[in-house]
Amino acid sequence: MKKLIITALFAISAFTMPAQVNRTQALINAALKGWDIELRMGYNLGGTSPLPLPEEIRGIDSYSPGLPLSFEANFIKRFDEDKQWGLLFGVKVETKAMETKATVKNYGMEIFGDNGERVSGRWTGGVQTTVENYYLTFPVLGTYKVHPRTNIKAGIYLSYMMRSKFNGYVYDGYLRNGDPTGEKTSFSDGKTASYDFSDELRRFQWGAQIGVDWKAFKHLKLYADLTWGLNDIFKSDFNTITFNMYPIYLNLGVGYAF
Amino acid sequence: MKKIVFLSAVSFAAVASFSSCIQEEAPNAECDIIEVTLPGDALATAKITNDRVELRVKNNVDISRLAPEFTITDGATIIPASGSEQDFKNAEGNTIRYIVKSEDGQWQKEYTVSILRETPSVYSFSPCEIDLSSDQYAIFREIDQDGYPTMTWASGNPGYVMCGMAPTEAGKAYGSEAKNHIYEFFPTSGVFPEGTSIATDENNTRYFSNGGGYAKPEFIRLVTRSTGFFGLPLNMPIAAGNIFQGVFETSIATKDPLGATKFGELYFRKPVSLNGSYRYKAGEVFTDEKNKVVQGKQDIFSLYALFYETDENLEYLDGTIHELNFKHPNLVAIAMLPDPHESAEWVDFEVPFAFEDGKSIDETKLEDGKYKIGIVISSSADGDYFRGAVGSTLDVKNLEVKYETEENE
Repeated sequence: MKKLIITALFAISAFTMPAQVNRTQALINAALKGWDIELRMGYNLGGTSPLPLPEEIRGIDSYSPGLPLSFEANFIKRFDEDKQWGLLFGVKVETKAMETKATVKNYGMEIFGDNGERVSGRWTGGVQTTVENYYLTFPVLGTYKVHPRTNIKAGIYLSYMMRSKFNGYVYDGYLRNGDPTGEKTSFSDGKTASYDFSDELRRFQWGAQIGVDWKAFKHLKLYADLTWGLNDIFKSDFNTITFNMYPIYLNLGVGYAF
Repeated sequence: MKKIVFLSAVSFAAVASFSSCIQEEAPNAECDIIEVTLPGDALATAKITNDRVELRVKNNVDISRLAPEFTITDGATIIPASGSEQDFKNAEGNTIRYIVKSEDGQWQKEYTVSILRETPSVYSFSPCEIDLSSDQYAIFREIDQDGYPTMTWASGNPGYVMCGMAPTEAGKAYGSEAKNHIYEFFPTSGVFPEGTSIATDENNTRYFSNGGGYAKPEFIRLVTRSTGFFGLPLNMPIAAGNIFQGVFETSIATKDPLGATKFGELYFRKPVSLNGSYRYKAGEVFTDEKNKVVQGKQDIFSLYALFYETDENLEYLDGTIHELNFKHPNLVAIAMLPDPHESAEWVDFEVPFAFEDGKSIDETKLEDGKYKIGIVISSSADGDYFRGAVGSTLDVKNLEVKYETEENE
């Protein structure tokens, strides 16, 4: 298992770093200048959610985290002799995903057709949502060694969204056209209306990050990072969903420290 | 590894705890009249749409002292109060305006509540108004010679609002002038004489005006239209232009389209024939409910009138009568246009009411208001099954039901 992971990490390093003929030598040189390098692979567990849950949401009926992965290279500069304090710069390719079904009441919805048709209104009933966003993320964290094997970290991350998916459908309920006084149309017996807000997501997102890693073996680390989005994932001129939504994910995985 | 298990457990707990952060339910934002009754047995029929309540009362009911009772959305309030006595007789148009305010106080809706006079037999499709809810489509009403309301034609237009097509199409055709043209892009509309404009009355109702009064359409125009991206996944890719006597229940239109079209208005006369003029052009490509092209099939319209008896089990005959091949135990007579065909010129028709075997009209029941008449016109005969050709256009004018009078009896 360990061998497999290391192989995988080396495979990743080929993507994240320029090919080097004499890589070992370069790594040694970097380390000598006070830089530590680690490669990590992890799993993003969490969701994209309004916080707190707005009153429109009456229940979460199902949740599935999907299989969103992350691959990351970290460069850590140590400042003191004891290597207790450090500053971490990372580059991470990651997916943040989830699938939920919720029951809502009077929830703002807007549906666009390919030819510019627009249906907007208030939905009461079930809403299925699928989120799957691909990011290039740059964490900048302060690190502190609390124990010879354990580091804690805190800082911020900046993300550039490369590909986005935020869509779903409504089911078992009714739509009021325009506002709560509008015409009412029921959807039941498997009839649904789909929506797609994928193009309404912000390209640049940022947030706070705290984490911990634990050196299980000489080179192998286990880690957990909590990333908490601090700007609304939607563009500021997107008002259909009346509340802000933030990605909140726990990134769990293994790292290889050189 | 233990740590990962622990952290996973923590994170799952965090996700699960979202369910426990569900906030208290907000007060209702809706403000609907759901049901209306009259004390005693004064009420003959009641029709409720999104902003209009139309009541027919039994003979000899004093409408100067009528106290309608309303069932409204939970927590909402209504002014004047439900059960309060109102003078509909001296109110303009036998109509009183009620305001329903939502429980959360954010929304309100004005309903016109009218006591209708006798169902007419000659139809002018005027006054014509733009609906209040969406401010998009035309609603055709009938009034008597004294200006009192006698009926409102039903159509599938309120359902078509949902697909968002008409404003888009009007925008493409008219740009910034689109607002007053949106109604033309609905399946059910009308063509008005030169000089007609859309005016606004003192109650903020937008109506078609000509020469200082209500404009009368030259003819009504029914066009089978695409419902675009919205209707396709519902297996409702088209909306046939339709107009009928009765009520269209928008709220059940997607789950029970046939049941949503309830045909009929109370009728106190013995119908003889359905008369009028039409012209028709079928759309190019006939499609089925999955929007698949049906090769070689040409679209055709339908035009008929049902005359039927109501009882404690049957308030309305609805669109399922088509499924039953126009047979129903309560059906007394039917006038079905026998040979609908394409024509660029106006075609006059006079279709006699054919009585079902062994059926006749009972005088007592007729006086008691047990019979209803339902004229139903559609630009695609199978439009209720969402089969037809986009673009099929049916124009109708001079619509009239001839009935038995003392002289011709």
